[in-house]
Amino acid sequence: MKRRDFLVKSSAAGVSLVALSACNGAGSGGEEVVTATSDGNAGGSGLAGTSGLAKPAMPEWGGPSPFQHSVASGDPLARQVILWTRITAEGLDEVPVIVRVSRDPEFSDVVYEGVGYARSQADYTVKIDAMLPEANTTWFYQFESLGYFSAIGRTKTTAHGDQSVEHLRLAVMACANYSYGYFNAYRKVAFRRDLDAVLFLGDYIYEYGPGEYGDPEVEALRPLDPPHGIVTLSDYRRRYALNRTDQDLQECHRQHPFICVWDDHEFADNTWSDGAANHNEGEGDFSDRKRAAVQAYYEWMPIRPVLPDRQVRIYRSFEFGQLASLMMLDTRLIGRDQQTDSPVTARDRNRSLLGDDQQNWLFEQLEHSQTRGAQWHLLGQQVMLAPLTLGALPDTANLDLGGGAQVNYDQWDGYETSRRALLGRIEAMGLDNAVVLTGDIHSSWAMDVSLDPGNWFAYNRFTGEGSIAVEFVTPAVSSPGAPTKGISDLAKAFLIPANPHIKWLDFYHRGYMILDVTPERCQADWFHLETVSEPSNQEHFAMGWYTASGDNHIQASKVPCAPKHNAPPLAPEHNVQQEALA
Amino acid sequence: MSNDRRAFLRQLLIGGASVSALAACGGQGGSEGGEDLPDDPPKVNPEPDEPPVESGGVKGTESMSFIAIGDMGTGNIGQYHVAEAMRQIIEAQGCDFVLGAGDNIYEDGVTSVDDNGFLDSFEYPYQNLDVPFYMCLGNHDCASTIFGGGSDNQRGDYQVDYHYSDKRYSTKWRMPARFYKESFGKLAQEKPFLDLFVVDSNPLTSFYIDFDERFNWKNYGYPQQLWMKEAVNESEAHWKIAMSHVPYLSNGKHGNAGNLDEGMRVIFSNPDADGQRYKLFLEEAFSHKIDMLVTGHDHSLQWIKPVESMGPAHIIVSGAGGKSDKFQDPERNPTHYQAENELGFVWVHLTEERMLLEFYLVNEDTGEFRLGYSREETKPVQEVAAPTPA
Repeated sequence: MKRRDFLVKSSAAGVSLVALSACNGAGSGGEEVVTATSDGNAGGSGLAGTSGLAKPAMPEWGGPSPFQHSVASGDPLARQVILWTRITAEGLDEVPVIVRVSRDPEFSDVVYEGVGYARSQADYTVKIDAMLPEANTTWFYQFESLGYFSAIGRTKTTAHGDQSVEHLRLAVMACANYSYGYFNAYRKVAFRRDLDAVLFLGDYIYEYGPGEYGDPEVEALRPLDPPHGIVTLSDYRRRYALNRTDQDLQECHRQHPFICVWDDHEFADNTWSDGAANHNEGEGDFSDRKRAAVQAYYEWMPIRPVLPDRQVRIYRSFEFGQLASLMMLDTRLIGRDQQTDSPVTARDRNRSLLGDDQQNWLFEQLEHSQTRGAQWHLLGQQVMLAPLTLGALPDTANLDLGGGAQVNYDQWDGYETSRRALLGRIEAMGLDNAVVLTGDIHSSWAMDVSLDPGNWFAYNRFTGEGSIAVEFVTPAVSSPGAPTKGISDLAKAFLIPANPHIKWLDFYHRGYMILDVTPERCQADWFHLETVSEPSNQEHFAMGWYTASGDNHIQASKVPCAPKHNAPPLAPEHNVQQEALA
Repeated sequence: MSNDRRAFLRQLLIGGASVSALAACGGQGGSEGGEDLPDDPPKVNPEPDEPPVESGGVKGTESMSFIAIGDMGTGNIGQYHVAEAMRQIIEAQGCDFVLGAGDNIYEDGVTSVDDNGFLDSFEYPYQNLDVPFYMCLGNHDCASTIFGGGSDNQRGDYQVDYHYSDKRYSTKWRMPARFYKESFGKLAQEKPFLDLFVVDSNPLTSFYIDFDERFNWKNYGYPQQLWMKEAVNESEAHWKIAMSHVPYLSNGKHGNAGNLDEGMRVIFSNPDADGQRYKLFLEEAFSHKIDMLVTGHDHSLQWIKPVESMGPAHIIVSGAGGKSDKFQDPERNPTHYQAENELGFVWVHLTEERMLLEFYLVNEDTGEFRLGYSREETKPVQEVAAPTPA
C-alpha cells in the first residue's frame, strides 16, 4: 500500500516515469539532472495519476553489460538523493536507464522508480534525483538498461533538520592520485557499515601525464588514461572514467553516498578563479579548460547542482537533523584571487579566498545553523584554515604585521582578510562547536583555531583557552606526504612547538578520517594505511582528537569511537536480478 | 553648574523651541529602541506621542524634508553659523526633522545627563531651530580623551538618557536608544512614508579597545547587526534611510570601511579599527534595501555614487556641521559632488517618486552661505510588486 501511495503521490507531483521522460527529453545538451519538482510542473505532459511503469523502449544491444563504471550516490537530503551511473554501449545514444529504489537489498519494497537517459552530451552519464519517502533511512538502488542490471547500490537519506539525531558518522577523504598508489583507503571505508556519508574534500583526480606526478612502480601497473596531461573535455572525462574503473573506488561509491567538493587538481595544480600554476598558454585559454573540467566533474560526480545554470557554484549545505549542519565550501575556484608569495599581499584587504557571494552565503548559513539550534557546525573545505608558520608571533592587524613566518600561501594564510572575516564572524556570533574539515595537504593534522594563536594573551596553548573552533585535516587516499616517517617526525618535532595551536600532525601516512559526532562531542579518528604501493587491507588507528560540546578546543583520545549499533547491511555483492536473467 | 543658569536657559529657549510648539510639529511616529536585544520590548518614550501629520487619514504624506548634519558639536562659532543657515533654509523650504550623524558633543562626549555639553554643543547653538533632531552616536561621544578614541562607549548612554530626561532644555534631542528605528509619515495601509535606521558604529570601529565587555562584538556588535537586519527586513516604509557615524565610503582621511584610517591605524589598538566587520554589518543589514546612507566622521560634504556592494543606495557623507577638513583622496570613490574645507549641511526633499538633495556651504568666519550643489534623482530602490496569490 505504502508503495502505491507513494508512487501515486509522486506521479501526481510530476515525477511519474512519463513525466520524467518528457521533462528529460525536453532538455538541451550537456549535463542533466532529473529533478522532481514539488509544484506539479515537471515540464512536458505528465500523466497525472499514472502509477504503473510504462517501460521506455530499449534499443537493440548485443554487447556486454553497459554498467562498466558501476553506480554511485550523493548529496543526500532528507527526501532526496542523487543516483548515478554510466552507460558504456558503443554506437548507442539516448539510452533509457531505469532506476529502482527499495528499502531492502532484495527489492521487495520498491519506493521509487525513475528513468533517465544516457546521452553523448553528458558522456553517457545518468543522474537521477530520486524522491524518497523517508528521512534518515538506508536505501538500496539498482539501475536497469539494455537488458542488464547494474550492481546494487546502497545510500542513505539525511535526517530532517528538526529531527533529533544521536550519532553521526562520516568518513572524510581527499587527494586520490591514481598513479601514486592503490585506493586501499576507499576499500577500507567501503566496508564501514555505519557511515552516514563520505565527505570528499577534493583532488578526486589529478591532471598530470605519465611520469609527472606518480610512483613509477605503481604507475607501471596502473597506467594513466589518457596517457598525457589532461586539458580538454574528452581528457577530463577519460581521467574520471579511469578512476572509476578502480574496484575499490567503485565499491566505496556503491556502499555510501558521497558529498564532494573539488580542489585544484580537478582543474590543474594551484588553481584560482582565473588560472592555475600548472596551466600555460600552450594549453589554451584557462576559461575553456575550466569549463571542460567543471562539465566533466558534474557528469561524473554524484553532485546536485545548486543552480542548474551555474554549475561553477558547488558551495552548498546539508543538515543532519538537530545534530549537525554541514557547509561545503569552494575555497579553490569560484572566488579565489590569485595566490601570492608575499606576506604583505597576503594581507591585502581587497583579496578574497571565497568571494563576496560565497562569504555572504556562508555567514547566512552559520546564522541559520545557530538559529535552528544545530549542535555542531561542520565546514567541509579544501585548504588549511589555521596558520602554518615557522614560528608563530602575535598578530597586529593595524600594522598589517605579525602571525609569524607563514609558509604556504595557497591556503588561508595567503588570504588573511578572508580568514579574519570568517573567524571574526564566529567570534562575534559566539558560535560554539564549529568544526573545520580540511583536505589538500596529504597529511593528518589536529588543531585549535584561534584569532591570534601566536599571542599568549589571546590563546593559551596549554589549556586551549582562546580557541574559537577546531580543525581536522584528513590525509590523502594515495597522494604522497613526507617520503619517510623519519622526515615526518622531524617536521612534527619542529612545527608543533613553533605553532602553539597545532596539537598533532603526521606527514607520512595515507589514510582517512572518521568523524564521529554525538551531542556531547565531535571526534576525528585517523586511520592510517600500511601501504598504498600494493593492494592491502592493513590499516591502524593512528590517533583520535575530539572537542567536547562548548569547549571549542581539542583533546586527545587514545581510543577510536565505538561503531554504531545496528548498522544496516552492506549492499550485497551478488546481483540476483542479473543472475536470474542469465 | 548652577540651577540659575539652567533656569535662565530654559527661559531663553522657550521662545525658540517650546514644548508645545514641538508637540505640534515634532516627530510623527513612534520610535523603536534597539539597545536591547530584539526580543525585548522596545523602550517606550515617556512623552505622549505626537499626533500623526495627516488629518483624517484620507490623504497620506506627500513629501518630507530633512537636513543632515554631522560632526557638529563643537559649540564654536562655526556651529552657530551653520545653525543660522539651517534656520533660513528651514524657513524658506521647510524641514520636518534633522539627522545628526554623530560627534554631537566634542571632544569627549558627556559624563552625565546634566552635563553642560548638552547646552554648549546642542541646545544653545540650535536654540532657534524648531524641529526634532534624530541623533546618532559618534566616536567623540564615546571617548574619554580629546583624541576621540572611542574606548568609553558607556558615555553614549548619557545621550540616550537625555532623550528621556524631563530636565532637558528642549525636546529637540531624539535618541531613544543607542541604535534605533524611527518611522515618519503615513501612506496607504498605514505604511510609513519613511523609516530611519540609526546605527551605533563606534563600538564596532573604535580606535582603541573598550574593555567594557558589554560593548564587544559578541555582546553588542553582532546583536545590533541581527536587530538591524531584522528591522530593515520588516520595514514596510516607502523610503528607507540609514544613518551611522563612521562612513561606509568616504574620500576624507578616515576613508572606506574595511580600510578605515589607513595611515593612522598603526597607532590604534583595536583590530576592528579598519572596519572590516563594520563593512559587512552595513552590507548585510542595508545592501539593496535602503535608499540612502547618511554618515559623518569625515569633516566634509560628499555625495558618493551608488556602488554594487551597497546596491542602489546613495551614500552621503555630511560631517561638516562644526568642523571642516580636506579630502585625503578625492578620487577614491566616484561622487556626484564633494566639498572640502568648508562647513555645511545637506537638505533633502523626498516625494514618493523622487529625491532632491541640496548641499549648502557655510563660511566658518562670516556665516555667509551658498548653495553648492543641487540634484534630483528618482527613488533608488523600486518597490517590488507583492506576489499575487496563485
